Amino acid sequence: MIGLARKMVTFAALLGLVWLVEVLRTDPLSEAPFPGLVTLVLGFILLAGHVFARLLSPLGLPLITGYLLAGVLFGPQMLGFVSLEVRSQLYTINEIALGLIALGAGGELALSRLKPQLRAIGWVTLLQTGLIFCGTAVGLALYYNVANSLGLQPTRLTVGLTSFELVAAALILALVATANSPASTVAVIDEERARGPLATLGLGVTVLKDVVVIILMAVTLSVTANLMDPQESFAGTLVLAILFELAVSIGFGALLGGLLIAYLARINREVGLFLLVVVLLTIEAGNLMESQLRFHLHFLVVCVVAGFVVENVSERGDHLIRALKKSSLPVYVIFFTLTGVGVDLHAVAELWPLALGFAVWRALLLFASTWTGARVAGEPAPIRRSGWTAFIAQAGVSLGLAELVAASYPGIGTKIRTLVLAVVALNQLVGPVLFKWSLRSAGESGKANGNGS
Amino acid sequence: MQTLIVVGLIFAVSYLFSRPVFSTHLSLLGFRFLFFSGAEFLLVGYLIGPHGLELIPASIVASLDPILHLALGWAGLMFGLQFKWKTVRLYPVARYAWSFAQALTTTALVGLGIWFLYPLFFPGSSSAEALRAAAIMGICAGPTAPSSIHYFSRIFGIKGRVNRLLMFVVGVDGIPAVVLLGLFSVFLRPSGLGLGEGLAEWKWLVVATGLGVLLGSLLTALIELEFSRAELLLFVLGAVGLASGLAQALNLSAVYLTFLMGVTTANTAWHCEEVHKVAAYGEKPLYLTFLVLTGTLLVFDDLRVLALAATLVALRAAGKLLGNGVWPLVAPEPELKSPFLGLTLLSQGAFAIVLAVDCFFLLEPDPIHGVWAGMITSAVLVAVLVNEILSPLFIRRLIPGPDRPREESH
Repeated sequence: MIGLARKMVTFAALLGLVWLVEVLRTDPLSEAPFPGLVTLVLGFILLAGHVFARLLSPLGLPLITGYLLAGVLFGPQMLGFVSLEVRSQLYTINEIALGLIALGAGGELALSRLKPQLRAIGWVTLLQTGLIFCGTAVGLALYYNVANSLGLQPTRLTVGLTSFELVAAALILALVATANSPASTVAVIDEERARGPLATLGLGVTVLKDVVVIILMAVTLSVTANLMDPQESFAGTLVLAILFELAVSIGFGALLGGLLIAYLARINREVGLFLLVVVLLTIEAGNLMESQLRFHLHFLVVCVVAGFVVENVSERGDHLIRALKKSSLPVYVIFFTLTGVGVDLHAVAELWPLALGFAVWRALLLFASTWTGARVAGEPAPIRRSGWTAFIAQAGVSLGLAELVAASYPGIGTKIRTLVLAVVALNQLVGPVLFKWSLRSAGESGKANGNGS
Repeated sequence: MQTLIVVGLIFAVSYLFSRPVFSTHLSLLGFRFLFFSGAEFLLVGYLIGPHGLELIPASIVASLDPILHLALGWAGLMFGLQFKWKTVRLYPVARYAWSFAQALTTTALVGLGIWFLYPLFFPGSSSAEALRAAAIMGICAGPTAPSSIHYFSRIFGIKGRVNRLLMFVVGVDGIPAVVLLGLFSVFLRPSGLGLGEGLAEWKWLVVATGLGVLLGSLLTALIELEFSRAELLLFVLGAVGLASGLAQALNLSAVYLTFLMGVTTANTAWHCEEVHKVAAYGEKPLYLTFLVLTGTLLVFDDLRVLALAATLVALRAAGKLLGNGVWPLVAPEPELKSPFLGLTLLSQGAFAIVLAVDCFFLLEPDPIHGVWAGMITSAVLVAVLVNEILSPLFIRRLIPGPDRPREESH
């Protein structure tokens, strides 16, 4: 009780400090950024975000859900301490955090641990991708037709769309539904210090699906481009281009992994600083390739592959994981709180019935596909029952897709983005909670030691 | 592309310049210490910065501003954490008195000297400008870098009472500078920044001091709430970020605020040693980055920078000698009989750079276009580099101890 009161007082003091700046400065916090605002916000997020998450943890919520909620609370639609402009100024820091999380995810994928579950990982990935993609598309079509036949207006989103555009929208939403958030899965496993079949399945499928989604994206965007503009033929070159980008990203990641191995083997000092520089350079290389060559380097894939190579090609995986663990907490706080800042409450308020329906339908498909995949692979009943909870959370990939679609198709794309923002907000808030409970009920929490080895 | 070149350049230069550090050749002693203290990163920063080869444009330097402020706060916290009352009271008051006296004498002499000479360098300048320049240079001139005495004591195996006394002096003579910096930040602050207009200077001092103590109490409350190494790092990083951001937002001294935060935490937290360990863990990477970024602020376009630096070096040496003369008046120490012993305190090191950069940000919210503030800061930084080269000569000759350097690298 005393601990709780102290946390609340500390949290109130932190809010008070930011309020003090608002009083002493004549320009309000949420408007024009002033010198020091980014540093101030960074410090505030680290402290207040963590304390807030700790306040919520007695309710059984994972820390990352607390960080997300803290982000929502501090964000522009509630307290307004962190504006979207400041969030965009912290973009590089956010990307670095994502890169470090992805490196850690790759580093956790030890083939020795994956081997017993390779079959399950393969089946679950295949079935999830197929069933969720097809099931979502079919489900949306059914929903639209049933609502139409009953004389109801299905949703404001579909007003003025041609039937081709409706199909395209359904395909894009199906693609979005397939994606999940490797960062959230890693963060929950890390927080719970979980080790076991459920954690391995969750991590393995999430990472593998990240690659599959990129391929699926290539095909889907080509088809939708054709549907939006019937004059345009199926853009096979786009598929090939994305596959080429993926191959280069994997190669780049392998090279990076080699560099990390060489550093860990020969120098092995200031590893944290070295990782920071490597991730920063990878971001910079990606930006450079994008602007100069119009080539998209899949940053997440690069980092995951690099971590995977270090773990499985050398004996230095532990060194990498240890260095990452030392700084993982600030990384998680920054990444997930900033994700929370970006949660669009207006979108949720506007579209909550549709978003909720969409999220529930996706969860059902997830359950069915994971259950079937795990059964085919011969996984035990607890994994079959609770495996799906590892894949509910959605963040970066889905949001990235939504932004891409909004930029590519200004009319319908913007509507899709609004719906996706609402669905992602729901899934991201609920997913980690369910996965944490599943890990605990499977008895996998606390099984990994401190350095992840 | 620019970042790639920059990082490659940093690695190459660091590797090249690290060679003399591992040499035990005596003629290289001054340069060895220069590289030991990481000063070459300042030059790297200058070379790649907007005033050098322009590999990093001014806009990128401006966007890396938070790192500089974080480093300022980190340095202040590290310094403040050393002053735990239980340890502080173990030493006689007289030692503190003469440590502070020599630092204040140097500050006063440098400050007065610069104030008188300033119109010669900048004819037609206002008295307020001269006063600010004198204050900055005086404040930065006071403290001594502890690393010099520690480093050379180890290299030459110097032991004994004089060495121990000097180690004590260099450990605490930064305190007057930090306090003066706090005063400087409120009494000589530029107006018209849209900050609490009409608030009297003494009230700003109360705000700054109160914030430092409050942030320290907050850090204590946080580390007493939860206690794991990962959380400690998070709390230290967050508290320093918050303090530095607050200082910058309110145009107060980040070093002053975080120094008070450190002192408060050291005296209220059960686990302050752990906090110190965690802060030390993050110090090196932050320090090197800080030096490179500080180098980008350097300007050498004007010969007056070099002239001011030379004046500062001369005045500081005179100040340290005079400070040495003041010691016997404050508290006689029979061991300190050499009239030139003050010259062993020439090394300024990282702390003077930190103070100079803090002053720079206080005077010029825009770090790139502040030509005047940039020149003053540059002069201080050049003086620091010169003093790093000179100080080993005096330490070697004036502190009694074995003659032969130990055959070891650091």
